[in-house]
Parts: sequence; C-alpha cells; structure tokens
Amino acid sequence: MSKTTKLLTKLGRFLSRDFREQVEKRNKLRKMLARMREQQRKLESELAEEYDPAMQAELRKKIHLLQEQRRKGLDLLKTLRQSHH
Amino acid sequence: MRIPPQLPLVLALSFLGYAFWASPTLTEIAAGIAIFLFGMMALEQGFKAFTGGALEKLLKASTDRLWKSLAFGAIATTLTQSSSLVSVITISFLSAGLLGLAQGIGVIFGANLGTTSGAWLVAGFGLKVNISAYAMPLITFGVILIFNKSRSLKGLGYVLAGIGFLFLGIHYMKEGFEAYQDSIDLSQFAVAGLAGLLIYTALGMIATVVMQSSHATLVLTITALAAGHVTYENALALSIGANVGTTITALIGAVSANIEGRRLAAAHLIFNVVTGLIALVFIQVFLAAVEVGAQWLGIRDDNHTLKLALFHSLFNLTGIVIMVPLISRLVDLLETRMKPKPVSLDQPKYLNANMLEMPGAALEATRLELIRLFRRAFGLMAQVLSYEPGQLRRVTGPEQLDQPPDRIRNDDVDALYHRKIKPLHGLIVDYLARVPVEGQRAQQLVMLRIASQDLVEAVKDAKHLNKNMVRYLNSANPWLRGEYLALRSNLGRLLWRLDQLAADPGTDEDADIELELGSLACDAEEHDIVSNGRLDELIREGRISPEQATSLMNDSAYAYRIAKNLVAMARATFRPFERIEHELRRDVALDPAELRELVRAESAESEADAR
Repeated sequence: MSKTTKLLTKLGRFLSRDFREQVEKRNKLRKMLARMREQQRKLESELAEEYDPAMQAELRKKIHLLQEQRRKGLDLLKTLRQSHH
Repeated sequence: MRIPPQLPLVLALSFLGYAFWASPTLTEIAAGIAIFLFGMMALEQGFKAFTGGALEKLLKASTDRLWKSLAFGAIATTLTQSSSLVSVITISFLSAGLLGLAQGIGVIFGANLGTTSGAWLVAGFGLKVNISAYAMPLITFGVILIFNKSRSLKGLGYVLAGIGFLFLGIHYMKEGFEAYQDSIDLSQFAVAGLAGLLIYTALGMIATVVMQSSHATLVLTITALAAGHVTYENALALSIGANVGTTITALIGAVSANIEGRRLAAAHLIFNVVTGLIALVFIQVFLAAVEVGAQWLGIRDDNHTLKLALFHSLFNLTGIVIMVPLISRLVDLLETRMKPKPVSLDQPKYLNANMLEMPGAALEATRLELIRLFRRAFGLMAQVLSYEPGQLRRVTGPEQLDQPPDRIRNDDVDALYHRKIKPLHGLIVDYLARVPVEGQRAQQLVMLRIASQDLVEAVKDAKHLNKNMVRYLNSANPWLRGEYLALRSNLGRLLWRLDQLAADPGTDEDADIELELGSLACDAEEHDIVSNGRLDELIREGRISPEQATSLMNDSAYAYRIAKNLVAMARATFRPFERIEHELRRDVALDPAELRELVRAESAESEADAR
C-alpha cells in the first residue's frame, strides 16, 4: 500500500463514526476493567479480615463474579483491539 | 348570547384584509412580521433536530454551577435566537428531574440576557447591510437541505431557511417603514413624559402577546425607530413592554406543564416584571448609563437603534445582578407557595405530553416513572410475601428477613394489581408509543419497553405465588413450611436490595451496581431448588407429598422468574441511559448458564473446604 493510500485509510477511519465509537468503547471498557480490578482487591482484603462464615461466602461469591465479569471484559477488549488493527 | 369562538379570528382577518386593501405599505410591514415569525418557527424546528443529544448534553454539563447556567441560557439563546426553545428544553429537563429549580431559573435569567443579542444583531447589522441579499441564498440552500433524508442535514436546512426568512422579514419591515416615511408621519402619535412611557410599555406588551414573540416586537420597534416613526423614548418603553409581554407566552405554555414548569414560568414572570419596573422607575438613570456606555463603545450620538439595543441589554443585566443573589429565596418562595397536587394512583408523576418534543428528556422521564412503578410493585410483592412494605424498606440487615411472619396476609392481590400497577403500566406503554425516536434513542426506547414488561411479568408471577404462599406458610408440615419460608426470605432479600439500589444506584465511577445485580442473579440460580437438587432430596426422603412437590416446583420457578425479571428491569432502569456504558454492562454480565457454572464451582469449593 502506498503512503497516500495508508494516509487516506487512516483519515477515512478517523472520520468514520463507527470507528470513533469503537475507540470510545475501548477506552471506557479499559477504565471499567481497572475499576473492577480495584474492587476485587478491596473485596480480597475484606475477605482476609472476615471471620463470619456467611460473610466469607458472600465475599467469595462476589470475588468469583468479578473474576468472571473481568474475564468476559478482557475477551471483549481483545476483540475490540483486533478489529481496530 | 354566546359569542362564536372563531369571531375574534374572523374580525382580525377582516380588519387586516381591509387595511391591506387600503395601504400597500401596511401589507409590506405585516408580511415582514409574518415572514419573520415564520423564520423563527423554522429556526426552532431546525434546532429541535439537534435536541436529541448535543443541546441536552451541553445543558447537563453546563448547569452544575449558577454562572454556568446563566452563561448557558445567554449563549444558547444568542445562538438559536429563540428564548422559547431554550425555555421548553429547560422545562422538559426540570420536569424529568434532570435539572434543579435554581439551575432552571439561572438558565431562564441567562436566556433573558441572550435574547437582547437579537436587538444588537438587527440594530448593528440588519439595518446597515442589505440583508435580503443574504436571505435568498440562505432560503435556497435551506430548502434543498430540508429535502434531505438525514436528520442533521434536514435540521441544518431548517436553521438556514429560518435565518433566511428572519432576514427577509426584517427587510420587508424596514422597506415598509421607509415607504411610510414618505406618506404618513407616525411620529405624530408620539407621547412624551410619563404617559408616553406607560402607554408604549403597554403597547409593547400587547404586541408581544399578539405576536407571541418579544424578538419580533423588538425588531419592529428598531425598524420603526430607524425610519423615525417612533421616538427614542417611546421605543425604550416598547422594549420594556416586550420584556414583560414575553412572560405571558411562557405563562400560557406553563398552564399545561407540571408543577416544575409552572414554578419556572412564575420565576420568569417575577424576573421580567421586577426588571421592567426597575427600568421604568429608574429610566433616567438608565438613559444616562446608556449615554456613558455609548460613548465608551463608540456609538454615535444619533444612532438611537444601537442605543436601544444597549438599553435593552443594560436593564436585563441589571435585573440579573439584582435577582441572582435572591435565587435561593425565590426557590424557597416558589416551593412553599406553589405546592404540587398530590399524585393519584393512576396518574403519572414524571410523564408529560409537552416533553414528547424532546425524546431524550421524555425517555428519561419514562425511566423515572418505571422506577416509581417498581416501588409500587415492591409494595405489592412485599404483601404477597407477608412483609409490611414499610418494614421491608427499613430492614437494616438481611438476617431480619429470615424471621417468620407475625401474621400471614391474604390480600386481594388481583385487585391491588388492577388498582396500583396496571393503570400506570398502561400509561407508560402509551407514552412510549408516542415518543418520536430514531437511531440510538430507538434502542433506549425498546429497552425501557422490555423493562416495563419484565416488571409486570414479575408482578404477575408474584400473583400466582400468592395462593400457595398463604397456604403453605401455615402448613403443618415443617419441611414444606421451611421451604416456603426460604422462598419468602430469598425474595424479600432481593426486593430489599433492589429497593436500596433504586434509591442509590451509584455513579459511572463505581462498578458496584453490576456486581450487586450479578450477585442477586447468582443467588436466584443458587436458590432454584429444581436445579440445586433440593426438591429431589425432599421427594426421595418422603418429606413432602407428590402434590406438594409439584406446587413447590411451580412456585420455585415463579420465584426464579421474578428474580430474573426484576434484575433485568433494574439493569435497564436504575441508572440513567448512556449507550456505551449500557452495552458494556450487558456484555460483561454473566448469562444464566455461566451463573449456574459459577454456583456449581462455589458449592464444590465449599464442600472441599468442609472436608
């Protein structure tokens, strides 16, 4: 591909509404995943200090949920990155 | 004798018809006013095309501080040249609860200042340049774009055509008054002194009420002043009258608005009347200030049109300076004096027909109404579960929900459903069908419609659950009673948690809501006694009869569906709609199969721990 064609492709992508939305979605997803990671760490430290078995089970469930939600989020991020390139 | 309602219109048309026949010049002025008003309508129509996002986003972002509200009102009115459009958007946002009364008042005060920009444009530009030369290409380009399918281009077309018609209208008014100069001298009707001030203020008010536009009155005044048909002093009085008269339009609009809209219209009236009175009482001071300002701005002594524009801005600015420190008192006064009528059960609180013109605000109002419907459904379901709704809301910890009920309620749930849920649900469905949406908003509308259906399905399942709940919470079989007590406390916990989330759904910055909803969905999977093997265990051990087993199986399925539907409804309505955030939350949420897998892994882990 010549330089001009590459430049035109880039410009076309920049002007495309879908492309801009994809970039926005990726950035928001990245922030969301960071927040989830932070939340997970917080719950893990709460679990370490919790002695009540019922509360421990509740915290463990939430941690597993966050792990699964993050896994789905990371897969989505990978797909979005691939469609970008 | 009854006067036919069309009589005033027939009389006005007949009078105009005679006047046009008698004076071609008057025809030109009247046509100028008509074209100008048509231009304003087109401009408003055009800007409405952009209210699906840009204007609303801007309004949301620019009203967190008072100075921002004022600036938004002034800038938006200057750009759109329509204070009524800005007022309509503000009232819609206020009614949808997106804006507080103080911020709304700020926007309206700002809009009053913004509307003075029209006088500057006409006096400074419209009279000096032959603006009809710009009008023709603007109208042509505008009309071509109006035929376009794209909503934005169509909107742009209306804006261009609107500006074109405004210019053309001003041109005809100017021409008309200039032609009059050679035939009749209207300035002979000039009245000096206090009488002139009061008469022309009243005339300005009447003209504004008739034309429904202070902008049109001002342009008419400026063109008449430029042609020497009104004196400078009388023109000042006309502009004061126009400022007061414009509130009549807002008051008429507020008659059909809700309490928030009426309070805002009252604030508008108070502001404009106070400002008008100040201008009338201190007119000499203002005249002196205008002279000083004119010198400072380099306005010539005989340029009365620009001086009128300066006077108009100056007295509105004075009004803002005086009234802004009093906004909080004004809010208190309006809130204590103007009380909302108690909303009856079958009346919506947030839905308003006026808001249908602003799809964004209309959908947000529907979301709030759905949350209101959820609170009613909460009450009904609490009764089905033999909880007192008020007590269920005040529970401080989930363990309190495990207590058996003091008394088992046996309310007529079907009657409650028909009284509390069905009418409001019907109104929501009807309202949604009338919101004009396209593109991304259509997605939001479908989502809200599904959420309303999910909520009603949950209520209907609760109705089905009611009969056996009453019967088996009293059962002599402790195993069966225990299962129904568990069903009750599981659903009670779900309702209690959802009620808390509805009151405080968190912000974009925390991941809590999706985690909480995921956790509730996970609990529903865990409690499903058909898939967790508990039902088989009870049958195998002969704890319950086959007939009781089928009842329990059905009721457990109802409870599962209630939880699933309520969680889906909460996901769609508890947070304000933001498309990308919503898509992401939906993408990371676990589906039932994934949740079941998680529950299985959890129970295997706890069993291993126990060993």
